[in-house]
Amino acid sequence: MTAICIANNKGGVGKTTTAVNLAAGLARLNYRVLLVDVDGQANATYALTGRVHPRPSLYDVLVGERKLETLVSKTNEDQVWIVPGDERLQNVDVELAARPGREWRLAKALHGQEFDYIILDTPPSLGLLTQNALAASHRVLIPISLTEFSLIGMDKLEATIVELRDQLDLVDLEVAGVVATFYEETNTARDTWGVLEKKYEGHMLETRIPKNLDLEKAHRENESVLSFAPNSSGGKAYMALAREVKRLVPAHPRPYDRRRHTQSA
Amino acid sequence: MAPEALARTLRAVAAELERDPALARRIAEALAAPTPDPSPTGEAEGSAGNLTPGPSPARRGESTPTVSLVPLGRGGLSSKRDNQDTDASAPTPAPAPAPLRRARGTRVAPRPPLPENGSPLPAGEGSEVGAARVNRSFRPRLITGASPELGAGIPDPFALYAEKGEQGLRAALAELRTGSLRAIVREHRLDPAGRLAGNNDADKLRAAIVKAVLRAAR
Repeated sequence: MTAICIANNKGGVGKTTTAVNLAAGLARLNYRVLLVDVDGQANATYALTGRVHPRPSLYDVLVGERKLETLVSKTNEDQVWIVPGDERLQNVDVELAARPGREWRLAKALHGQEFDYIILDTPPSLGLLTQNALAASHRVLIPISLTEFSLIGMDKLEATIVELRDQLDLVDLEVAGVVATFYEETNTARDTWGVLEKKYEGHMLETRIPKNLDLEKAHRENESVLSFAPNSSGGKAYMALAREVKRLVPAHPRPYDRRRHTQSA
Repeated sequence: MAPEALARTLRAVAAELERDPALARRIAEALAAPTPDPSPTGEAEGSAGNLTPGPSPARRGESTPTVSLVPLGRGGLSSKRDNQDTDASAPTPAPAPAPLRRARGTRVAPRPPLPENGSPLPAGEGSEVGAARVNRSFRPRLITGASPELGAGIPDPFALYAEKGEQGLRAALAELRTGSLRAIVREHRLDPAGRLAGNNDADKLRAAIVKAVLRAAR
């Protein structure tokens, strides 16, 4: 079991699209994948189930006492399961503020799950939900659209990862890679890519996700682009991303145990 | 609007016209037809040959830049030719349907509001073209999600039929989109031959599900 957090504190960079399609891509490589919708917008839940803010949801696990395994349900993608999110997750920061071990609640809830990969889709913030997702993850995948604005938030995300790693003793929490989304062959995109490549030498993934309307249409039809339009540029790119992620972050053979994985690293 | 955004929008309009020759023909005919009451600028505001890519600025009380769509291959894109094409008072022969492109230095008139049926094309003449477009194009609607009675996971059409009957099943399926329908087919093995695996036609998927459920019920 390997947990990958899809994170970027900037919104609109393709986090949910990447989470949904990466999960579907890994499933097509014969892995069992659990997608956890940690975002209060619950778009990943809608994208793969057609449900809007279903209840109960991850909120009831994080704030209430519900067992996570009671929420795991099948999605429209074969071999992909989901823990759905709902809008109440937006209140988690406030509701968990005074609770001890608040950053670990998701990691504890996931304990013992026997999927090959867990993909965590996070909100566009660095609040408690994202911290929970990072604490529950072994690797972080950062989608980034190649614009000037995207460069601004990257330092903050990096600082948060380092801070969390120190605070929570997450010795193996690392950035698996930075993946370019909404990629177009423009001077701006090329220049931004160049800046990122210098800054994150060795971490920029080879796969670049192109701007492709089929990615949006697939969300509309409540399935991954790999089901909706596998031969589209978006479909091919996400399949390539799944292969690259598989190579960079192999599935851990043991059931999920965040602390044991951390200590064994 | 930024020049890049405008160019992108116009490319999308041109692609739409290339995709739909009947629409292109109608616009070309409207461009060629003389306008009885031209506006002070010499252009026919609201004519079918003028398209507004975004929300109508006229509704916000702003002055409206206008663009005419000029067939390629009929005088090219020279400003002289453009001016001739945008002069509504000078009738020109109806151009053949061809890829259309923006003429420089011209302005876009506001698009009239959509009729109540939401069709981007007027009723009456060419309404069959409008119907074809509606079938092909996506019509956004507010998303409220699948009915709560479907529960979590992939809906069970057999349980739905047992609980609600055929009409209830059809109504429930009508709310679901391709991904969910395909998942039902896969999960309940309703398509052993695998013919529907790559099918993006939601109606066919719904029909196959209902057929399989009714067959099992008999």
